[in-house]
Amino acid sequence: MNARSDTGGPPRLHGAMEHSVPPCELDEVRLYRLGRVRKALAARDLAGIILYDPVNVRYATDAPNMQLWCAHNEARYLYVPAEGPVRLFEFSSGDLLTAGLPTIDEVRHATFVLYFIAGGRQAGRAKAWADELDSVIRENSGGNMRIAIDRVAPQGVIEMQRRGYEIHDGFEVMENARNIKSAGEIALMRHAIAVCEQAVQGMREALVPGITENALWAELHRGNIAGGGEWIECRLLASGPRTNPWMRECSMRVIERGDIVAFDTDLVGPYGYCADISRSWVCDARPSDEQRRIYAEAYLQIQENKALLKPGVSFREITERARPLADEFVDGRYPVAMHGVGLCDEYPAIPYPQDYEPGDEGVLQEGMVLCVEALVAPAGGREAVKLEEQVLITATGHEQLSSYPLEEDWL
Amino acid sequence: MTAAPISVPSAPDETALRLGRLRRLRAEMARLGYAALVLTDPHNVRYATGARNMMPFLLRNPARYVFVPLEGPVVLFEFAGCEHMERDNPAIDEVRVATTVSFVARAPLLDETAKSWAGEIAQLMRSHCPGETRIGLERIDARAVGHLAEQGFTILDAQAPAERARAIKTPEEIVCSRRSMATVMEAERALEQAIRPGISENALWAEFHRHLIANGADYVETRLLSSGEKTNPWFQETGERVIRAGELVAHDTDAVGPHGYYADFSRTFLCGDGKPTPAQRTLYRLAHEQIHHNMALIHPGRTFREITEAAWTIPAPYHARRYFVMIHGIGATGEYPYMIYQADYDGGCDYDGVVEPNMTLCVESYIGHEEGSEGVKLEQQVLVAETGTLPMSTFPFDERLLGREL
Repeated sequence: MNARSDTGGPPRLHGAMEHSVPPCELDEVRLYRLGRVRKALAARDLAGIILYDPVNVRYATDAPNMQLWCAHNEARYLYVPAEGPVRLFEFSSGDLLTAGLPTIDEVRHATFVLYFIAGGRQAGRAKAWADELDSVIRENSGGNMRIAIDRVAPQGVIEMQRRGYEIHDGFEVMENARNIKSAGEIALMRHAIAVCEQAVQGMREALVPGITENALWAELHRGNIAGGGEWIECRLLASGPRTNPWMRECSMRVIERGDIVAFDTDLVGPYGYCADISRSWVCDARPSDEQRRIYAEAYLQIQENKALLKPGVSFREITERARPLADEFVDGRYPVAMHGVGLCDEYPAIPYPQDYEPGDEGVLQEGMVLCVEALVAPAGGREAVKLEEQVLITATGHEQLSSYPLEEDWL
Repeated sequence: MTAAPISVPSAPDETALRLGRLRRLRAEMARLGYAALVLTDPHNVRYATGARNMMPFLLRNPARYVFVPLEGPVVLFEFAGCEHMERDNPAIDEVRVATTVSFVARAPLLDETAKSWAGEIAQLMRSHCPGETRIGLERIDARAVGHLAEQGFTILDAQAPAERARAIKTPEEIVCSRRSMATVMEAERALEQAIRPGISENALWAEFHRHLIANGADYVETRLLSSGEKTNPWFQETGERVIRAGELVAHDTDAVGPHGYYADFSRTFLCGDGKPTPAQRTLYRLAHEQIHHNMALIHPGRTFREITEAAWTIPAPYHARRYFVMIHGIGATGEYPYMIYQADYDGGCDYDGVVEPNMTLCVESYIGHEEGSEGVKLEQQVLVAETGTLPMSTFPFDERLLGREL
């Protein structure tokens, strides 16, 4: 299947991977995902959902457009009813960027309520926005006034409430829909991981004493964009003493021989799928005993925690049975032991015992993908090690999707 | 061709930068009647405090926010695990751990979380804004808004004071903006030098990214580099298309550069060593004429409507595919104000306002024939001076497409 019709028809694929051949039947993935959204709506007796988050819009339709710009400018939104036509309220006019998609029935022009565009007319615009959505919702709602919204400025919520709607959390709907991946989604995710790991190799080859953290990080960006990837969520690459405490953003620091260089890709790759892996290296030297010690601990955390993963295991059991953190690693622990991943980070977030709060009784299911985290940042230590693997839950256990080599000769 | 190096001013004093912006924000809050704001857009958090963290991630996740009262302590609610990062920030009085009202983070505990979020904000309001009820919020979970409203607070949109504050730049911001522009122009030069027949749009755009990130930029907001027939209509996203000799390559930078300032200009290039076609030169000449005509209209004291009415007339075959905005503000990203074409007044973008010194503005042009073929995108970023404008995006125009070469 060619992604762009050679007969002059509409392209079969929009955005970064247009003109390429996808590794699966995209329409199957699209209809599977839209079907999951509709099922989640029906299960909650919701008439429909208004989506602004561009990642949610992408999930439901596979129609990307200026994803980062739309991540903080409320200028493009989607209405998905439990039954009935899906309408995209597009930023730019026409259906140029959605032609041929089986997930969208109508494209209309968005009503812009954001101050940047609406200025002093915001209040009137919010009313017009709500009136139009109200009439769209009523077409297929059968009088059901329960709707979900993922995230909108407060006046949007207030205007819909004034019209009698009961507003539910759209992320609860979408995260549960997104949670279970189809085989086609996994094929797309594998492609994203392959592009990510090739870009990681580009960083490895560029790592020499004297390069800045930013220049090294630039190699990851270049590889991702050149491979049809989309963006990188954070800038978590640090070196030497900037690794501990973790979470410092990459900078103009010049990396020195013998420094640990640790990074977390947080990369939104081709087809919008996330490749989220972490590795730690030492710049142009054999690791010191201390570097080897903390690396070995991170390695064991990953191996032991990953071994817990199979369908039916509860999130709580994972928290309870995770490799215990020695006292010196408790304060510097990562916020979560594991988290879901799909199109960006997703539900669930599985904490360490220190952060556990009762209430989420979820269990692992086939088709979930989790990132297994390890951050070993000893209290008072100079450096830290970060490792992370992306793992699919299979029918009988798990399969690791990430495959970039670890420093096993240090162990 | 060897181009002259781009001059870069020295970085401004960070404390003056941060406190100057916070003062502007509070002045707009006072003028518009807001007792406090809770800002969640990471660009607004950075504007108010100078604190950056995980930019694209936090565009979509309410996992970090700042409470800014008209008077009293600025409280940054930082992403868990990052509390160590803003300890010495002169614009922040207190750092707490964020209460993240999102299903991803909290799952079935969401409603409790929304309550505790609202409780903490309400407590801050009572302590630091006694008797005041008017609070501005940005996009946040509906339940969190509800819980705060139930406690008697009047919920307003935080965008108005934030956008109006950001519209006028302090002297330190102008230095940051020029430094960002210098980095992005160098990246644009790297991109131009990498154009050759056979390269894909993605591979070409990757060179731009590499140069930007290596030099301290944050991220690129859109993917508006396109080639050949994909340049018309505009807004087709950068993809795997392979660029051929003789095709136009059009690019809108949309880059959040160093210091978190946007450098936003557009250029159109010709791939290969050949001559442009007459049609390509016509497109380019019209776009060049449009931005220069419209730039000359910008003067302090002029209303947005006056500028719209005096704007360059788009020839009929190019009118249908005109760019959606004629001139827009620029700072951390695209922002207020927003000036449109006469034909779009019915679309409702008809708010009026006045050009003021120290606004930074982008003047746009897109010229694409309604019957197809290629299109040209040009855009200039300018600083509004006491009279007229000063150029910011001094990246050269294409001599071949202007038809000025021998």
